[in-house]
Amino acid sequence: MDKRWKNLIIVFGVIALLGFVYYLYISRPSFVPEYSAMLTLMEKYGVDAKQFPSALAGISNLSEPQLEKLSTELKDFSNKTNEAWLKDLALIYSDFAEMELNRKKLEKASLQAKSLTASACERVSLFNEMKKRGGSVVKISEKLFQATSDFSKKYPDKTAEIKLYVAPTATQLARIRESYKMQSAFVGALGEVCK
Amino acid sequence: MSTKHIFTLFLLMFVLAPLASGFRIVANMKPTEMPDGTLGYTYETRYRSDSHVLINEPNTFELNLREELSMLNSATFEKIFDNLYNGVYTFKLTRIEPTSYRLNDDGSYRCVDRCNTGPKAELILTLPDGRHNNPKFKAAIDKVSGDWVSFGPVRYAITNIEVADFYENYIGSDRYYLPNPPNPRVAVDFCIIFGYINERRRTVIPRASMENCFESIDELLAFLATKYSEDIVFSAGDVLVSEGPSWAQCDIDFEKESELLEVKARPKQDKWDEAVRMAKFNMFAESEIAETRGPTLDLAGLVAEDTGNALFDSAYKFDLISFSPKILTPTGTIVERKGIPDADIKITEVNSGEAKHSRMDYHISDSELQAQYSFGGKKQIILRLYQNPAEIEMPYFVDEQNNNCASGCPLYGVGVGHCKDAYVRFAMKVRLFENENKFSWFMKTKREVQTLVQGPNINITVTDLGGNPLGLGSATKATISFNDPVTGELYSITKNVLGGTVSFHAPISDLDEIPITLSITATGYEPYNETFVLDSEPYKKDIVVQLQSSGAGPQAGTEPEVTVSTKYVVFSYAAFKTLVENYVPYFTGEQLPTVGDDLTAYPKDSYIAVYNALRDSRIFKLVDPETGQEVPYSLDFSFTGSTQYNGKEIPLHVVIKFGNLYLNKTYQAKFFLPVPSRLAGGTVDSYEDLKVVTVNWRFTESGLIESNWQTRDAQSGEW
Repeated sequence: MDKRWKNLIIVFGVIALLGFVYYLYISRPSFVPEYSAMLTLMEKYGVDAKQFPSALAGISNLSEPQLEKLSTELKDFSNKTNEAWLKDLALIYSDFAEMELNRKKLEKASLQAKSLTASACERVSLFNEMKKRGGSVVKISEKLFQATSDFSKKYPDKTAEIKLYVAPTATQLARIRESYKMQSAFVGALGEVCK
Repeated sequence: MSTKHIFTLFLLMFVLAPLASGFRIVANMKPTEMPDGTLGYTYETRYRSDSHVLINEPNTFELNLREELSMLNSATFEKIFDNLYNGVYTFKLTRIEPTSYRLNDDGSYRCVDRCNTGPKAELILTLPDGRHNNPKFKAAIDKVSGDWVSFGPVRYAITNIEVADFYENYIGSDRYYLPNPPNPRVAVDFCIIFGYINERRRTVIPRASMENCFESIDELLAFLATKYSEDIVFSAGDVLVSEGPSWAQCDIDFEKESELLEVKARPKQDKWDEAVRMAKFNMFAESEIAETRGPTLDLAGLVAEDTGNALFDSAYKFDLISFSPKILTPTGTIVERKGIPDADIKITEVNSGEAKHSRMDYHISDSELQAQYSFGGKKQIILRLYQNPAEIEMPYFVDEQNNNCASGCPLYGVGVGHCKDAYVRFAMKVRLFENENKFSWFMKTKREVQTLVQGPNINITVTDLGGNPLGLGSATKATISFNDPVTGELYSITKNVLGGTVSFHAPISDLDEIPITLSITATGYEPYNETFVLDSEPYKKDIVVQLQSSGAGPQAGTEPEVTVSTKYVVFSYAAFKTLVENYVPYFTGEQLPTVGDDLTAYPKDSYIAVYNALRDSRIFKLVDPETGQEVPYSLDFSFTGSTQYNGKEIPLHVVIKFGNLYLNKTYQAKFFLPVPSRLAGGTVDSYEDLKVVTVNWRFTESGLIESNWQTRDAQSGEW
């Protein structure tokens, strides 16, 4: 074979090798063993966590027991991992799962409150449960807002890679806060009226 | 919380089981002395089955909502109710119509009254300001829309009436209806639909349905707690963007037609990138906008309420030609940057291509929210931006420095991951009167504008109990009033009922509940009031009202025995020519040549001048000589015919539309003509500046008979 051809093949080979390395470690920087472990963990629950939006969508679809379990497992994972950004991301997902759990419980309680035929005063405990769940949703939402904000500032590259969108959180959060303020006021008033 | 949420919140008011602590009035019947001197509970002495049972005091239920909910802080209370429920609302049970049974010859009983509906009760509501509504009997079981009572900021309905049935008995020869069991106790349960204040600071009364009606305070609180819980669930669902927007979805949304009055715009990609890169969040100028979309509304069919003339002759295209992105603080509040316009809306008159645009700031203050666009003369359109920032969708920029960030400083989360399109919803109103400086209410949907253009959507027929149409003979007037759905201002218009009919343009309840109150008054008749909403297709309502004689003034059945109808007469041919001959010299100071019956000899301008003067009510009055009262009239739009003369079109007839005139009755027509010397000297502004041309008119089956025209000086108070 002509020497020039050999050189050309070597050059192309090196380029291909570099491309592969780039694919593995740069264009998919998350493709590190620990990230892979978290993906696997979440995949067990049917959650595609390669990107933030699909992870959230997957978590939202889980049942209450699954959410509870996933949240705990992600917390454990966060404690164990050495990658700082993964630690933070796992906590975000864990908190999100916990918030979804409370949100679903609140939704269920709201439906019960509407469908039961007993008087409002007889259902005071149910309303207190709603208040408790509402409070948890607000608290975790606040935490999530801060955590995602911090994440995007600390890890701008990762933010872009996993499409971690946070901009509408502020408005939604304000709505949740306002609704919770009203909800707890009315539950409190109901408790007084029913004394 | 958005308007939609609050609206939904109250629409979805639910029904819960009645509570002992609910809205209930318990009272006793008023006793009557029986023939043996004892007290009994019965109808009044000579009982008729359609009579009623009077209720003894105490028979009231007092509701002080602010006191009932004193555990709520003021901000929470006012968020829902504002100051609507300061003070005591008193519900008073005054009378009951029980189910009654008549005695058969064989000693058995048969039901004769309230057999299908059960007993009826009369609840009168007194508002904190002392006003109370008219008595009305309502049953608990026949719940149709008309069974609701609306008064002040509440609607209420009876849900349960406990009262004994009454049976016919004879004591001696006197007939009595006596309760069985002989228990004087009555109880009435009712529920309340609470009006509320929305973001635009106006009262909204939710739709009348059992689902909206609360039977106790705890039901109300339970409902509110549940709805806000649902809001938390809903809002938390989007607390993090769970799915990044696809640009394809942005495109679909941008292309989508909206039922709302909405304009949208999309900035150019490079300008957008530059804004993000440089943290530059000033207004996107017209040259930086890639595309704009908005509705085209055809107003050509809109006719004036007062004259029937067309007010617009074109369709109008609405566009958003520039906008500012929304700036948020990290906590989600909107940064208000005074002095920087946020939306620039352009309106183009399609026929002429003439375009006007106006910049408006949003979510700053009421006064800055609206802009008026004028196209030639009286063609005016006013736009108003919704006050609720949630109804203005813009790309986000987040200002980390809590409202202190000027352009160019570090921004956080700048427009990441969102459609960059801007959506601005607006409300519009148009002129609906030709001669008066009145506009219609602010409308928010395309459907509402289209309904307005199609013509009046409330058609009312007013008769006496005998079915005879009422009109000017009894000075019958109809008024509709409602609150503007955007500003909350009261809009009210009164019209004469002519020939038993009258029509109005009225708003439709597409987004908001807009209660419309109709009031009809006529001399010698009881006034009529009704409140309703136009909330479903075809958003029209035909109302037939039979007025009851009040016993004063002209009585039912004593209206003159004439054919009462709308007349299209007058000013045909010679009459109008005479008018021109009389009027024009006074107006112009020039004597017209005598032309005999040759109408074509006068220029069209002379006719037009007279026509315009008539139309503007400046020179003509029709008077009923018996009462001295002026007879209202309206003018039809145009001349009924024309002829050509020397290439000019000459009108042959002008038509005045008179309603409800009596046949074979003499009316006096008066034309007020300026004295030329006064006219030359300045403004004609008193009766001394005028002469009056009078002519007697009598409408007969065969047409108009008129007497000779006479001219005299105007008298004081005549003009």
